[in-house]
Amino acid sequence: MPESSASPVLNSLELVGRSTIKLVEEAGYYFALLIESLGWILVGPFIKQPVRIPSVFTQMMTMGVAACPIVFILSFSIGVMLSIQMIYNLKTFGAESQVVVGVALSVTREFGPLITGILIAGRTGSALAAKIGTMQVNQEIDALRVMGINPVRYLVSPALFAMMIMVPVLTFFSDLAGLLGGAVYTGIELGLSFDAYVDRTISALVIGDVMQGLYKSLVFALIITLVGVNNGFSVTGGAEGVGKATTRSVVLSISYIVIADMVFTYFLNR
Amino acid sequence: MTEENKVAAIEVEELVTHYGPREILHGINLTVYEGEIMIIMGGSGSGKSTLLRYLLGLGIPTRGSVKLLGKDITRISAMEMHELRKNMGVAFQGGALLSSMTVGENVQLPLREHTRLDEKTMGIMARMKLEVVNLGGFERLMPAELSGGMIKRAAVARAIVMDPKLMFFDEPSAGLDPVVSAELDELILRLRDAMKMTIVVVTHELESAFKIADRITVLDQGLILMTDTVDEIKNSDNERIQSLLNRRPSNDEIHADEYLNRLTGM
Repeated sequence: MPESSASPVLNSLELVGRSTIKLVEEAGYYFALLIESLGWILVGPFIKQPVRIPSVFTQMMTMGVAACPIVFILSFSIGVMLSIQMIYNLKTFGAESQVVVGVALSVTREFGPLITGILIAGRTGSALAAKIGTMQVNQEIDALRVMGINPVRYLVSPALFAMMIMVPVLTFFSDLAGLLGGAVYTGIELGLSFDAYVDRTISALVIGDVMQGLYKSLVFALIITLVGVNNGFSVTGGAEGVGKATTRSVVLSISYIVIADMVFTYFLNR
Repeated sequence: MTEENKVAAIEVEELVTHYGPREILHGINLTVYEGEIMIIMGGSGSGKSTLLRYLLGLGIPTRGSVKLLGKDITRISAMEMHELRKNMGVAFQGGALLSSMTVGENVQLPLREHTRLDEKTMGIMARMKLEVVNLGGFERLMPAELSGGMIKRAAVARAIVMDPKLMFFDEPSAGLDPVVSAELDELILRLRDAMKMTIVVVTHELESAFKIADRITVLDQGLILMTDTVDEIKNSDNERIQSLLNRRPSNDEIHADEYLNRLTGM
């Protein structure tokens, strides 16, 4: 161990330096993992080590289709909540009828992808970390390696593939659910008919609004998978370690999602 | 068999490894001949599990070479290593069966990944190997439904399903009762005799070591104390080996100053 410096200022400087190095190291690891898993998807079939399509579908079922009910409930609630807030806000200007535009833009550009991302981080990111962490503790990862089965190809690539398809799909589903929530509340509060709501939503939205949300959701899918998997692989110390890794992966991926959301929103709107 | 016509299956030369900044193995030299059962023995922390990890190619050594079947695994390409792994079987201490699959699917896994056999053939081959380890009829159960001894035997079935030339066992008798442990010893002997495998067993169980070993390597604090036949090991006059064999507590001398320094954290 290197000697720690005597002065408190130097100490804290050293701490900042060390955590920066650690952060850069981790970012590098995420990137390497991403390249490796994509590599297996593209190159695997040519070197007789393909990524198994059935396991991609299994993953799509468990992390995508099974999440539909909860995505619907949350997104619908967000839609209702947004309409309540916006009607209250717009009342000040006497522009309540503009609520349709407001809900349409907020849901597709922001709330759909964000709520889906956070939900999937809690649901799938944690499951990935726990599964791979448990396998690490039980030497199952070592067993895969000595059997000549690359753990990244066998475990990470199918999950990444499935997430890259399902998170955007779920986000689109969440957009629809959110808009439906808005339609229901606006219908009750302002007496706007469903058809009129749909019409005005469609004329308010351009394709770019929806796409912006979907692009972001693709980034969220990568973040959730890589953070979950990375934390799973780095588990040490038995069951307690698995618990820690699971918690860490959820907290980290939600934080990264929110930060990435901010950064991407800035650049996509310039 | 005379010394000259023995073919080396595993050759370890000057292997030095680190765990973080700490050096674990300090230059290991070891040769295992084809068709031989080599026991690697040593107390806790002697480095025997570490040595096994490097024999399996699960770590990158600091220095030295590990040759399996004539190929230096510290230098060969990933593709060559992939091919070589098909000739290696490993039975881990806890079995390491994938818990999300049935026993049968676990045993079939290497076949599914490395061959293009049809479903039926793979099923038959898996059942054959399960019969070899006396687990016929258990292929539909999940690993969580098996006892410790059965899990270990299922792991052996998975390890031998590709008919490997090299077989490694990590603590095969740890945590098993004497009867089950004796059955596993029998199984190891049978594998060598029937399938002509070269077998390396890492263990600290003396009884089973003496029963199955052709030769024994005694490891202590990252160094090989001795590699020889069972009789020679028993008759060795090395103090550390005798302590290990006779279950004597090791009585290293305590240096008063060092001890005080450790306690006061100086």
